[in-house]
Amino acid sequence: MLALSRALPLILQAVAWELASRLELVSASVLPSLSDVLASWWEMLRSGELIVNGASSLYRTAAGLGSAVAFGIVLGIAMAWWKPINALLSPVVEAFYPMPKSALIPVTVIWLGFGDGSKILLIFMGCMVPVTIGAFNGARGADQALVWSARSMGASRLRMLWDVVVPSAMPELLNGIRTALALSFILLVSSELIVAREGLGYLIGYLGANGSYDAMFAVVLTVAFLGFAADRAYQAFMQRMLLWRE
Amino acid sequence: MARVDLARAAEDPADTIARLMAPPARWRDRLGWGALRWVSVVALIAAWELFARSGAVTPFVLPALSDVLLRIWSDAVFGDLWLNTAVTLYRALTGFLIATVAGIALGMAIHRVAAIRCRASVRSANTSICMAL
Repeated sequence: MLALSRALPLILQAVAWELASRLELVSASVLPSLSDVLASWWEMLRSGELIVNGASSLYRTAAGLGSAVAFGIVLGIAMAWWKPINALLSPVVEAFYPMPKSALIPVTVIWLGFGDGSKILLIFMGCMVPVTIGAFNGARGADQALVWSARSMGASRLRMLWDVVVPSAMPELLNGIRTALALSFILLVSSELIVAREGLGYLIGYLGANGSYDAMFAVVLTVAFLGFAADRAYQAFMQRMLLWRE
Repeated sequence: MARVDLARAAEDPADTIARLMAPPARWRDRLGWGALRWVSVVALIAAWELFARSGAVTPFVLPALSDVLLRIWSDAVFGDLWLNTAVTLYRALTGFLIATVAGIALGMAIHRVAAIRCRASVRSANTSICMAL
């Protein structure tokens, strides 16, 4: 019953969608009916088009986001822990933070070409910022009393960093990574839409330009579902990581 | 190691711990951290200019910062920089305004109407908001 009530808004939306185009309230080129979209989704899945392009998109996201997380954690914690690093790097991070990373799509293409490299670089640059800020704020918020007690019990600086600062930074850091995860899909699709030869974003632009709107909507739904699934999986991971807080 | 000042420790423990742990370096205190903050900015600007002028890369790959600034100046004076800025700002602010009004209305509706205030709607709305960001 609960599962049904949770799915109800989505089911209603699907029915409204189907009816709107079946009753010709909107033309099929504006919004093809859901059943047509699902049919062409199945067709693209069987032909392998969706798999090949999806795999290439997921590889780019994973590579860009993974390197951004690794780099951002180190940078954020280093900035919180050593004041000279903070003084040197925070102006650069602050200047880079409000900049729309999608404005850099042409630049990354000039630097790294049409392939995977330009997308991975863009996702890396965009996702690094929320991860860095999350790690920085988290590590800054480490309880001074805990740092002191670790110090008084003779912990070395590295030991304090690892045993006190990193765990305290964890909640904010994980939230920063969640923001970065959502951002990575946005940057992926927009960069593939503009310049690419494969990938889900490329497929959306290509099918839209050819007027195959039901196939285009099928890819849009696929991207939406992938983003949703990634976010849900990440939330489950986050809850596991933060079990010790309960 | 710096001497512990208990009166100040009571006021700002973060400062004390930083002082306790930092190696004694008087010049840093005198010069202040403000100056250091500018070092990276100036270094970045200089590196961009020098690297672009060094001939290692063509201006197509990375134009010199001075050329970029000159172009901004000429676009502002002779070109349509302001027109394009106005168009961009208009789009951004209009979209943001609509989203704010609709978002506040939706949030209040979810809060007030018990029928749609089940866990499902709130959580899925949360997720959609996060994905839209």
